[in-house]
Amino acid sequence: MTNRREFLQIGIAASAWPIAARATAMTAIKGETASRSVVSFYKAVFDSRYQDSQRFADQMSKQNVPIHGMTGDITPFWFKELDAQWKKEPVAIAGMTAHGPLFCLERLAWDQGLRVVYRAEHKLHLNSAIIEHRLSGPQTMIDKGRAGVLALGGLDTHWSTGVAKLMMECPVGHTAIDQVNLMAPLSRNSEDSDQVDAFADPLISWVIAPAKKA
Amino acid sequence: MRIPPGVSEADYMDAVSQFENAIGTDWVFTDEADVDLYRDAYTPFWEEEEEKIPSAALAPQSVEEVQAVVKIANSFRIPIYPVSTGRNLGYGGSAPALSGSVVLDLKRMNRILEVSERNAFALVEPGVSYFDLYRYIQDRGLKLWIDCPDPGWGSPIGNALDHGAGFTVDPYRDHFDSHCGMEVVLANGELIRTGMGALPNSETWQQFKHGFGPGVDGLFAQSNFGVVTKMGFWLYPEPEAFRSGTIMVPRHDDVIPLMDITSRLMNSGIMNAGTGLASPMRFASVQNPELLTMFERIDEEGIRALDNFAINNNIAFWTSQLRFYGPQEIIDASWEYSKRQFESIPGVRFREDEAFTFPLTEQEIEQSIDENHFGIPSLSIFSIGARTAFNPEPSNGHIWFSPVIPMTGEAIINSQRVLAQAFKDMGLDPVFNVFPQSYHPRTLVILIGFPITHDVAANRKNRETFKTLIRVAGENGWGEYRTHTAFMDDCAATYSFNNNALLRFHETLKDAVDPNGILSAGRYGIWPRHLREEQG
Repeated sequence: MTNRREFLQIGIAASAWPIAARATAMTAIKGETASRSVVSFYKAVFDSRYQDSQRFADQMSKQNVPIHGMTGDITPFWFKELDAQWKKEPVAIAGMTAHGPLFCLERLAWDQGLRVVYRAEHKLHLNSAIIEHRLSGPQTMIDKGRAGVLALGGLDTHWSTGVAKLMMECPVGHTAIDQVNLMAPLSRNSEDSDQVDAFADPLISWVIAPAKKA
Repeated sequence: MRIPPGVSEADYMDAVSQFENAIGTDWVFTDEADVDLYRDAYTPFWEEEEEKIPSAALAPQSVEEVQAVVKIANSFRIPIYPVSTGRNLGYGGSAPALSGSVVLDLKRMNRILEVSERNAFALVEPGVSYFDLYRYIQDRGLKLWIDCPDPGWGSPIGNALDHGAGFTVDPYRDHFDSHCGMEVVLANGELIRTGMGALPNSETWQQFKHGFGPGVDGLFAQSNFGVVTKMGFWLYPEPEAFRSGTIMVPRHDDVIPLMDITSRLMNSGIMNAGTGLASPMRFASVQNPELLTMFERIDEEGIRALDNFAINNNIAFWTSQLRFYGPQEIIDASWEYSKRQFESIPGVRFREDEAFTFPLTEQEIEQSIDENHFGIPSLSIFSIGARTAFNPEPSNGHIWFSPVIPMTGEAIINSQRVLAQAFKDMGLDPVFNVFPQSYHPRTLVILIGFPITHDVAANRKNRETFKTLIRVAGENGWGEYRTHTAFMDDCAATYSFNNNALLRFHETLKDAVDPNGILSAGRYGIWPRHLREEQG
């Protein structure tokens, strides 16, 4: 039976790189220097349907960041927990999800004075063993991403684990913003990667953190 | 800094200073990084100069601040564009119809002023979301339901004023129909209350719609005659139970008696909700090229071939899901009665679908196919745009083409034929792009989603296609019920009875209540005098 949601799924999709991505890149205050402290995360969100996202969460957990798993619908996490938390105190969160949850959280975050300060799309190139990472965020993170490109997607460390490590470097406050595209080989365990499935949604890693009015 | 059209930089800077004095510096946004948050995430003008972009944004917290801001805007003739929660995605979002307008963001006006369980109503401000109202009701254990659209992060006021709809029972699922009473700030800063609200200390503002004398509420929906700062809504007392069942018919032409009977059940109140209309045969054709080709032939022989395919493959041609809410014994009887009405259709089959008693448990909510049917807001719809076999190249949003057709089988067949031909004439494949939804009572809405991409040429092509469909639908008597700001003039032009008399009437009202044309210029095709004159 075609129910209402099935009908809508045929041909309609939410945005992948919304205008807010450009806005985030412009959030940097001209001339402000980077704070030396790094963001402390309230939680890291992952999608338990995707092994890459699960690996990201495992690493975040090792890094003492509480994790929250979901299966594509961000409603329970936001409605039952995050909304009240953000109204009490706008805390930073991180995540590796498909686009839909980030799209929602980004806009809900705006209402509480938070912005996406880092985002990266991780996309498999079909017929190759390459993952393209399109990073946008603080200069310090981008530089580390460039330098650690092999770690981000290297032969011995899964890229999603590398992303979790990189997120712990996210600086507090406005910093210079940069963007970079990194092409990296899949890890040896690429057969485990969800990206091998051509119809798997590209995963997006992101940090939402308090941001001052520009 | 972007300057609104028709305003000098000196005047604008003066106005900004006055805005800051009126509502606080923290709530006046002029920096591009902040203002860009109000751009339409689903704009069909991605990377094009035609994109509607605000020049600034203001976020007042009270009616008094709204009045102050409006008076300042009026004195400087600065165009402003009120939004509630700004989540009207697919229809323009928080971006203005006139590029350069200052967005009046009412999100900080987020008080739930009253909820009466006894009289089943709520009075809210524009920044209250469906989630907020749902939480309020749940936290207090009130036996009331909201009716929400999908997704549920929008504003009851914003959605109702755009003629939005939901998925529970009549009359609540028509959101403007179920409102009762408004408070409005006019362009000169004056405050009015409609209906019984015009009576000081009224005890029935949210209960009796009409008030005394001419009702004016409709003037503030899909228009630009005022800024709505409060609105009342009737709420549905939590029912005892729910049940649903699907009627399945085997042949192409069976949709005619299917819709006639469904319509009669709805209009007589036997079934008190919208129907879920579907065509499993159409759905099957998405992945069956041979079947898809068969649908191109709609003469008698072609229809017979389709019928044979459906019967031989045991696929229902059409289905109509009926939904019943109320006391268990009544909805059980209503379902049994309804089934008997359809028995006149040879080969009809019935299927029992979801059934619940209320309140739902958490597990039932999670397992429910569509929580919107129970007034539970959700964001899960944002996960359906993911990359799938059906959707290998996800878009960056969508805009909705949504003409209204009669609730008859003939209208369904005819509209599918006409619009499919229109797509074909433009060299496009309609596939599933033509299918009706039961959004408002007594009618169906054909909902066609146009993807928004990062490809400028593709977006331009989609816009031209959209405009052609508006024209074709209009020629066949099917008007849009709602549209994106990019197409408001095109849609308004189709409502052309008597030399566009209705639009001229709207313009007369506009010139009277907003002579400086500061409120939402261009919204729903209503332009203020000075801009009409500029456009010639």
